[in-house]
This record gives sequence, structure tokens and C-alpha cells, in this order.
Amino acid sequence: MVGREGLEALRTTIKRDFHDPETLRAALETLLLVFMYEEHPVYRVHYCC
Amino acid sequence: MRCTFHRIILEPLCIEYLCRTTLKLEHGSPLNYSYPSYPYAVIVATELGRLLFTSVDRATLNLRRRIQERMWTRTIRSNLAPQSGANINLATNDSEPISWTMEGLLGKSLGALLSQPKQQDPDEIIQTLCNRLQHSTNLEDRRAAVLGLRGFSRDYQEVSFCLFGYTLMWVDGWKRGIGGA
Repeated sequence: MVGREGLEALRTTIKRDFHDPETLRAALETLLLVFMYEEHPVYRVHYCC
Repeated sequence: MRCTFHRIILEPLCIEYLCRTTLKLEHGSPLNYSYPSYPYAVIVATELGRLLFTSVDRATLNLRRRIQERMWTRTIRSNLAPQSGANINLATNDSEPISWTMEGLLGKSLGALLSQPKQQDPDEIIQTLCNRLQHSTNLEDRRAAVLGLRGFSRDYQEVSFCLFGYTLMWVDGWKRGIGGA
């Protein structure tokens, strides 16, 4: 489980490395997988908004 | 919408029902995860699910793949070391098949000595990757950490998701007006 810490790290990465397409793509894919396989309702709403 | 409803609500419920039915036929009581035949029931149920639906969801297929790998390694182990067959139980950790083989060939203690050192806790690795992702100054390091994290998010997912989590996700999506996960 990646968990909340992982989500925070992904958030930081997406903000910081948005200029690097490969990293951004990997981070977004990871984010998608985390939201698919784990239950983070609060964070999901937070990201969607 | 109907397709989403089928995929998210009906498939997991049907697969769980099939598991229950298979186990009930064998044991006379409903689903209990400690039954040794639970993996078989999952495999039978997913096969039936494949026949009934066009596709079984990805989480269930992953669960099925892991159980099949475990059964395969157990078979290898029991063939190589029949004397320790009485102690075989369902493994809870995802160890490499090679270590099972070595354990079967060389005996438990020697096999444990020769096989790989104790695997790191996945939570620990994930924490390390998160730290690297947040605090590393090198872009390559951060990229590698993201890729590692992606692998872990795929491998160490919540298993309960495929049985009960769908309903929660569906309700969550429904409340927000998305109409599905």
C-alpha cells in the first residue's frame, strides 16, 4: 500500500517535476493506480477539486 | 452506465457468491478464508466469471495470478520434499519460487541459509521511496523512485478491494455525480 505518505510524495513530484514528461507520466500513472486499488476518499476529492 | 454497474457491482458479488457456493459444496459452510480450498474456489469462480462476463476485473485477476503462483510453488515444494508435506500450509508472504525450491531440495534450515537474506518490509521500502521522492535533488533519482512506487502500488494493493471495496467506490462516485469509479 502506498498510503497517504506516498500520495503526499506524488503530489510534491507532480508539482515539482511537471516539466519532465517521463516523471510526470509515471507519477500520474501511480496516482491512478493508488486511487484504483486503495481507499482514499478524502484525498480523492482533494485531488479532483 | 449499465456496463459500469455490471463491472463494479455485479461481477465481484457474483464471484464472491460463486466462491461461497464452491466452498459450501465442499465443506457444508459458507466462505471462510482459512479453508485450504479457498484458492481453488477463487480460481473456479473467476473462470466461471469469465464465462459469464466479458472480462473479470483486474484486481480479481491479480489475486488469481498470485494464488496460482503460490499453488505452483507449493506443488514444486511438495514434489521435491514429500517428507515435509504434512507441514505445508498456505504461504502468506510472496517469496521467490527459487527459495521454495531450494528449501525443498536442501532442507528447511540449509535452504533458509542459502536463500536470499530476509526480504525488506514493503512498507519500509515505500517509505524510503517516498523520502527519496520528496527530498532528492537529482531528477533521475526521483524518476526511479516514482517508477518503484508505481510497481509497489500495483503489487501491494488492498486485497479486500476486489470483494467489498467496489460498493464503497461506487457509492462514493455516485454521491459525487460521476456514476462509477
